[in-house]
Amino acid sequence: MSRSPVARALETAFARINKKRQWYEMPTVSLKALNLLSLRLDLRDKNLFDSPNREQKPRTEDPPPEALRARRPDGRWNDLEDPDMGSVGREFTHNIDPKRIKPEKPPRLHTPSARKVSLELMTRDTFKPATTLNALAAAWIQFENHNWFFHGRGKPEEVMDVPIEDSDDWPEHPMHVRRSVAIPGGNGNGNGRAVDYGNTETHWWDGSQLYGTSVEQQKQLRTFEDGKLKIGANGRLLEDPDEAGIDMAGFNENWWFGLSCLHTLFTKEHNAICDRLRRENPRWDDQRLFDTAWLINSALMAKIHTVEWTPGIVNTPALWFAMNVNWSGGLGQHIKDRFGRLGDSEILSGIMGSPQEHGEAGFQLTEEFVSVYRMHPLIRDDWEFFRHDSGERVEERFFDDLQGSNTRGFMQNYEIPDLIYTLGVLNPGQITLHNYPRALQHHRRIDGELMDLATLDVLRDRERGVPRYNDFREEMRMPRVRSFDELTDNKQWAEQIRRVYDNDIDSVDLQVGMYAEPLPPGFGFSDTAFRVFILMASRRLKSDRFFTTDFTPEVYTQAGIDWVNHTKMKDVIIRHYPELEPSLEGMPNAFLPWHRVDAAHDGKGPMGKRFEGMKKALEAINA
Amino acid sequence: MSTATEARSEAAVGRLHDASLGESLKFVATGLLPSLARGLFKPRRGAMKRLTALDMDTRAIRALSEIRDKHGGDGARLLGGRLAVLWGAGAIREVLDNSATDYASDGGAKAKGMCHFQPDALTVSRGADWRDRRAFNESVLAYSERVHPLADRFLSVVEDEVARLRIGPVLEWDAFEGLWDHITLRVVFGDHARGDQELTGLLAKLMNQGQRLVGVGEPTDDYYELYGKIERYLADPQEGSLLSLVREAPQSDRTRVAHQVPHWMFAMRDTLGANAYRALAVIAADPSLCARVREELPEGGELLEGVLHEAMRLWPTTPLLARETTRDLELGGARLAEGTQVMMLNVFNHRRPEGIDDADRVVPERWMGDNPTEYRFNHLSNGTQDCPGGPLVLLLGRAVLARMLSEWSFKLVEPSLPAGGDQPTMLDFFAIRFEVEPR
Ligand code: HEM
Ligand code: HEM
Repeated sequence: MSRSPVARALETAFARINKKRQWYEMPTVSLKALNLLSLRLDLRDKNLFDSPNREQKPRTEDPPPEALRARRPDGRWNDLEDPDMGSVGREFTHNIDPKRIKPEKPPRLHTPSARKVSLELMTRDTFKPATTLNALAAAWIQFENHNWFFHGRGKPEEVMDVPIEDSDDWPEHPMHVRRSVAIPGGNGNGNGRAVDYGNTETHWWDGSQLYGTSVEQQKQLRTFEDGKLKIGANGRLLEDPDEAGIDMAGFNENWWFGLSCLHTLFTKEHNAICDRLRRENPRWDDQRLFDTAWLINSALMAKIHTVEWTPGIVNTPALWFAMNVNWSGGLGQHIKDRFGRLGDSEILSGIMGSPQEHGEAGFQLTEEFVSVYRMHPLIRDDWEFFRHDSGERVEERFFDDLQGSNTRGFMQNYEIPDLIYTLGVLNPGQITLHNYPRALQHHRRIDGELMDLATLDVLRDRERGVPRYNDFREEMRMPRVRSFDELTDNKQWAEQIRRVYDNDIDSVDLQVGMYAEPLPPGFGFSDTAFRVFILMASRRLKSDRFFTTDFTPEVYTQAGIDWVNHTKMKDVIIRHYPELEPSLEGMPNAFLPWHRVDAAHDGKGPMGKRFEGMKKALEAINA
Repeated sequence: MSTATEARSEAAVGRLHDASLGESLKFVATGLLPSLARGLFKPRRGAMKRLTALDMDTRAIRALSEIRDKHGGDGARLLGGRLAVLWGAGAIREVLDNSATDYASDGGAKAKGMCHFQPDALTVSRGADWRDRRAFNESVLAYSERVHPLADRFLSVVEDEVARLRIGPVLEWDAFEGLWDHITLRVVFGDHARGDQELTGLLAKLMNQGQRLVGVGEPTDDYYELYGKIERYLADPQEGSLLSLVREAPQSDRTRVAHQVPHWMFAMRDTLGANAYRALAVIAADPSLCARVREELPEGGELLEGVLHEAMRLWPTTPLLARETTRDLELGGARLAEGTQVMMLNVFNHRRPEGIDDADRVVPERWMGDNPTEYRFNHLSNGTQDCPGGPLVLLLGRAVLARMLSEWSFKLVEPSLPAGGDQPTMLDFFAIRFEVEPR
């Protein structure tokens, strides 16, 4: 591919430096940000691959006219030349040359047993909170995962037998885990080669968790009046007609109250956008209103993820800066508003509104991308609940009571703002070893299947050929770690990992390595995960016609563009639940821990809160 | 092998004549010194490349051919008798069958080089020390058993390592070397040593110092560290490793167990690695041979073993066998004084053996079926001091090649080798490159 001279110059400059010093060890914020940008461009040019199992067919149909200015439920026609790209059911690809992908088979698949890894390295001893974040950030990332991907449920008759110790109290010996289901023609029998697994969601950042992935599903979710989505008169989501206890939504697997709150918020946001659009375009029909609100709402979620959630969890000034570059260019929103886009270089002007481009491979999410988002330690086991107005502590509950078929029943006891407030003030768990939620290590799915998600997190990578930690690092152009002491600062962990992996550093699983490695300052997850993440985060924007070529007033309306550009997470919350304003006052980022209303009552005015908010942001950065 | 050759091999020792000073010097310059430069123990990337570019082995072959054509017989005495060079099966057999006694191998540059990292190794021992250490090595390496008692475990190590090997779209030496590094550490020391690249690194460092043939003198810190590490592994041998067989093997005070181990390490990791890599190149270069080899998969059989032998024969990693007479004696009617250096130039004997057809070609059939020993083919040597690791070489080499061929298809990108034709005299394994496709 033709690389821009700027990108090449950056690579040349940083390639040498990075041999000795990682990006986060650069002396200044702008150098860090520039180094990050360079890493990202480098990965983009070298770590994108198409599936070898799929033939590229030339397009034979013409795009349907509605696809030109609206997303399709199944994700087709985003790229007008390759209509299937990124659509539902398409395979996950890889960030590693597929020739080097080797799904593991026994005995390697079980060396060491994933259950042993779960029990000995993951089990939460005491809860370790991520003190610079709130639990809303945990719910948010699961919410977004459901926007992006899911591998499906597998077939009960096709299982892997995970060996477990005699003394293990797990009810079945060995443990049965459903295989991931390969897509037809995706080299399902494997032969030890890369297998294609399909995404049950669209690959696009199109809000499919809200809007579903088929016309039929959307029918169920829409009111067909003024473009709106269904929501109860009481402001609550409707119940899933097929699954008692959980809400109806575009994607409602692994349901719990955190997801329910976010779905409620963004369903309301969709409807608010419809109201605005209708005021400006009184003659628009339901479909046009729906389509345009969908575009705006999904762009808004993508933006919140990019400029708020990400810098919240990877809390370094360089990233606050770099992510804004991603979104709006280094010049900042203000300049862009006034002067429009400045030429076609995304380095200068960010991605939004730049030309759609896929780089080395068609746009599909990747197995590696899925792997680095396995962030289950974020989930708490024990939850305290508070009233949003008085701050009164109501009760404490174990996670099991708040999820699956218990979700709606539990939520009846609270106002939605109470629940969002609770998410806002509690910390999630740190993504480290020995912090895996006990609830998810012994998780009864809504369909009755018992699973240890920690075992699955490890086993899935092995099954799908996502390399183990050291090989993974090498593929991401990071140095291998040579010893257990180099892997982690924690002497005790180093010993434990050594034992579980029989002294074989190259066998350490990706998840374990990522949970164990020392984090760059301000980071909520590993630098290793971060590499995939900086590549794919920008790609999700850059490849999508509706964030690039068609992020225009003609498609979105000017009101729509403004809505996206000038709304933050905090605005969404306050728009629908103004009673939460005191807790958010002065907060620069809604994913940092909110002010507690009881504490804030003692005499802090708006200025005091603003100060508090800044203080929290700074604490987060310096943590 | 034809019965005619057999008859010749069995024949008595042919005569040794005296070569002129000019011939002697030419042989020393083209045959002897380059072999030393190549590194008797650990080949060096730069040296390999230069020697290959100069095609040094072809020069050596030419020089020796001239001497043989002129004088005939089984060999010649050079430099007024201080040096003898052998090409006839009879004389070679006589020397190799009396190795370590009449013809000891601890002389000259090799011993000096090796002293630096393994002063008490079997290969530089003689007399009673040699017998003691030989028995020990033969026992651990299971030299006279049809299958090594730990063969199953070693095969599963190979299987696991090849399963873990991540190559593509190309394969280059470094990755293959890495594979052998892991296999060697696990086979010799056990699974828990897999990541001990410090150990193999130390040995490589000492070997490189050794072959510079200078400053050999006092042992260095690295030397003590290497043996310290080996002693620690010996103290707590892991089930299923070669070291776990040490306890049961015959040994005495003079065995110097730890000093036997480095040879196993570099012979497996470096020597066998390089030979297997060349065999892979030979297979990849010849589609019809490749198809026949594939018929033997997944295990790999006689044919694959034959190809490995041919690769070792065509490009012998021990270019030269050197012996020193331990007393005055007679060979092929010529008197050899005590201290005479006796040289068998494998690069010559393997390529120009009189009466053997197609010596420049890959003919794996040479090694299939029950053929009598050909004493001129010495890639694993012959006689009393032959390679006690031979059975392991075939076991591991064959297994690695079979596993690799089962997993991938290989296309030889560099260099090009003529399918079925005469093979170049030199094949720089550092430079071999394949394109690989998962199968
Ligand atoms: C912080 C919040 C969470 C994040 C970031 C997260 C992330 C993920 C990811 C990345 C996967 C892999 C998906 C795939 O292979 O397609 C996954 C799988 C899964 N997650 Fe979560 N998850 C979160 C919370 C939860 C919760 C709260 C539950 C349960 C209530 C849950 C249940 C599951 C289940 C059942 C799977 C499927 C496992 C399998 O069969 O491979 N997750 N999660
Ligand atoms: C393809 C791989 C190998 C080749 C081509 C090879 C070749 C040879 C040759 C030519 C000799 C005789 C050297 C001389 O007399 O000067 C020899 C000796 C020896 N080899 Fe190997 N070898 C290989 C692998 C191994 C392995 C894997 C081991 C042990 C694990 C081993 C252990 C030994 C020992 C201990 C000697 C000394 C024997 C003695 O002096 O009595 N070799 N090898």
